[in-house]
Amino acid sequence: MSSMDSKPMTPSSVDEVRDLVKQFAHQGNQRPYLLPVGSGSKTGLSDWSPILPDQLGRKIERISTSRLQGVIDYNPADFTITAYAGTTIADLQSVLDEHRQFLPFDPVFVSRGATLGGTIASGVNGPCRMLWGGIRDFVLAVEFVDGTGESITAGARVVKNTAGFDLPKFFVGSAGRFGILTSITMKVFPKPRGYATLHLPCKDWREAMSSRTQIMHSPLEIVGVELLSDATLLVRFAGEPKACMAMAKRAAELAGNANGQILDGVQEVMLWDELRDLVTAPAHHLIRLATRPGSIVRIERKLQEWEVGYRRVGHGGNSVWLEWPCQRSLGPLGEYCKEKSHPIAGTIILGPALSPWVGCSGDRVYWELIQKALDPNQCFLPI
Amino acid sequence: MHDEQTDLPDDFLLRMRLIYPADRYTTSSAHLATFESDGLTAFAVRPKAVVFPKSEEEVQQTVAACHRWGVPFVARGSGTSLSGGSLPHSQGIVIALNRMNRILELDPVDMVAVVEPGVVNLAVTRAAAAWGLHFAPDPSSQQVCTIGGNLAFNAGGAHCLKYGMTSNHVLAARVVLGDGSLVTLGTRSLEHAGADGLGLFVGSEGLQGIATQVTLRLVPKPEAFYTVLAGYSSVDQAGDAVSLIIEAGLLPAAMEIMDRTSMQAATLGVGAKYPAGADAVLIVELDGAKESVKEDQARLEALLEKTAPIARQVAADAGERAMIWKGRKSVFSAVGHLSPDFIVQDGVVPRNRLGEALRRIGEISQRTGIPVANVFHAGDGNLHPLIMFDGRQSDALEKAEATAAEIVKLCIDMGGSITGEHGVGMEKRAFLPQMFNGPSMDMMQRIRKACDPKEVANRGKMFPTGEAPSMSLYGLHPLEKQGIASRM
Repeated sequence: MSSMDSKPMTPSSVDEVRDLVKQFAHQGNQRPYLLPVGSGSKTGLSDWSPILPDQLGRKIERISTSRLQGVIDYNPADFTITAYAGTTIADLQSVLDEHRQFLPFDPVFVSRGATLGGTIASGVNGPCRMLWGGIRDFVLAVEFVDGTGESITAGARVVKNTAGFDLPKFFVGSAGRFGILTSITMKVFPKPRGYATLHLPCKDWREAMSSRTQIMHSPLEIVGVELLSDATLLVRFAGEPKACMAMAKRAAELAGNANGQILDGVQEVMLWDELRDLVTAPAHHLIRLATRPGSIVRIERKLQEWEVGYRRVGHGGNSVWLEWPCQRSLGPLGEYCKEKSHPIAGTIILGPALSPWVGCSGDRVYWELIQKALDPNQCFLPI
Repeated sequence: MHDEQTDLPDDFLLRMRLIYPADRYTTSSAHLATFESDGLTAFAVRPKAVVFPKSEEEVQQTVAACHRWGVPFVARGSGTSLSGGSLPHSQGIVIALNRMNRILELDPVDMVAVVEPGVVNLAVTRAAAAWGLHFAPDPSSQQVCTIGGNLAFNAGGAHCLKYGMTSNHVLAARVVLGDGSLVTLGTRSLEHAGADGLGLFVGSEGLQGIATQVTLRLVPKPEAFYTVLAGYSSVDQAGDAVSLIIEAGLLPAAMEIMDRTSMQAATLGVGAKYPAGADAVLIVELDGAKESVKEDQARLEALLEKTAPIARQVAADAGERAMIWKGRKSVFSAVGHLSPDFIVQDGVVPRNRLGEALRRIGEISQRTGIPVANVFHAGDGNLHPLIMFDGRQSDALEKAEATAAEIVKLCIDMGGSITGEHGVGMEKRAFLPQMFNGPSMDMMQRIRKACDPKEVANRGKMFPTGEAPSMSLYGLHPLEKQGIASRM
């Protein structure tokens, strides 16, 4: 449900996107800000509270890439695929499926209609990104319309390239503040032939994190490490089915915990599907904090103190997912994340917010410099 | 260190003397001479001064002074850049970071190492070995090249296919931008909130500023390897084998092809042995957990069987594996046995067009009469043609350069890149506008100026400008002669 005044504009070609931006750039100071969106599956980034335009002094006009659809080029032998930004991840996956390939960063919200452009702009990786890498490690090239209405290309449509500045990576997590992505080239990998998961109930998060470190220091091929609020540790392995089972067994031995259970088959797949496409009540903000593993136990204590219902440690301690009731102010969370001794940055993925980001990011000064370079007329929202 | 007359502004020189004690600042021509070239020995430029900071504060003060007085600077680690990326500026200074070489922290829980930019790549892996962890990027010069240089040029290596490049293994950096301001990019987390500033900084070839502290991701060392060398009667056949492996869904850590000339060089250089009658060899390496390698090995063997190689050698132990890699990595230093001079390019083509690219390189070579040896990261489509010539003959260098330019253009025409891992630097800056159109080039310039308004950071690199020092003869870098560094 949108709280914006009007429906987004839906250009059907890159030229139309350029024309729209140029039109906006030539309007006066009272022109609305442009906010590029995809399908709107991550409302924290695409659908904002009406209080925001008042605070900014300018309205917000959304520009959707939903009509920029389709695969432009797919080269299975080179592990590359290029598609328009509005292409849904589901459509992309069905094309890749034909060659048993996939997007190894495990894109989220696929069932909610997530698009390729929105996935890049949100910068949110799925739980099974641990072995191969995140979105930043798989984005090879982007084409975008900058704040002057020019169509810019950066990167190259090959798996290895160091020519020019690596803007494709910069657009990961950029939330539409620097330009409108129109097409993207991703690296893809062959799909693993099997999976297995070690399901390890632990006494508390401290014990679970200790087992996590034991297992993660081993050379086992781990694609996902999640820790649930009841202190259950889940470790997923990918590869040849026999090898996955053997690795899960070895991980159970390493943890030295007799309660471990090894899951495979449909049950195992469903477990990770649920973790990936989180279902949350609309009355809650869904927030993902980028954390360091060493701080997890401390963060857990705070979340308990706040009585946060849904909370989960992702990526082996490199993220924390939590639900925060919309009626409660985000203030205390923001303050906690800004504490100088242990700053944390987070993304508000679902729920209305003043900004898609919570907490403290040291990158902010740099973002402002780059924004001036890419958007000198301030067409896009400020950071 | 000895001080000599320079024409740098007096106030700037005074500032340098205030920042640095005499033993960490030099304008002596004898000292400056050692900084004239980097790994691309075709260029030599003497800087006006060299400073040796020991702290971030000193770097920041130095850069702020360069910004204030408009003095260009080049940050330099071990000077192994193969694209002339750390070539000095004739009107500027070199900021040598070798004394900022401390590993500040190793955290086995966060699985990170926090290091200064002058730390040598391999030193990180050595320090992390106690936990069974390592720093994955392994450029061939990893015994000497520094983390700061790896970051600036997004260094690659033979194992990029599975593990990625430097950029994929850096989590955070403190950076002094070209205007002297200090920014922090990224955090210790693998995950990030907001635009990936670090991603844009890494690989920017020193044009945005200097990293003064870097947080690196450490990953477990693979415990098992399976390395096989297969000989084929043609390069095309070896290329077909690569395609078959990829199509079957295997993801080896490395896939390398050497042609006959490269094999000859490796044999002359380090006594490497290759199957008789082979015109090309393919090296495939699987690595990871022993359970995985065991399963993948069976699949790989079945696939190689189908390609009907002339012969196959499987490394039986670590020693044999090291020998296969020694031969492979020696090619560049060993080419000196076949030709007094050579140029190497590192363009990229889509992997499925490797065969076509090699055929066309062969045609160029035949037409120009310039011999070209090929050794390449086949898994990445990353070519490394060695263009051989004798610089003592008149116009040989020009002919070789013309051949190199044709090969770079070929990569662009085939939808690839002018550089896969060496960077643009001084060497390929004329080609960047062939890869990116006007608005895209302008945008990169705007980004550069946003970070460095006076363009003092590594001025004259990456973007084509008027101030090009002329090339001299190519030859081996002293490190290459010793076999420590190679151009891969």
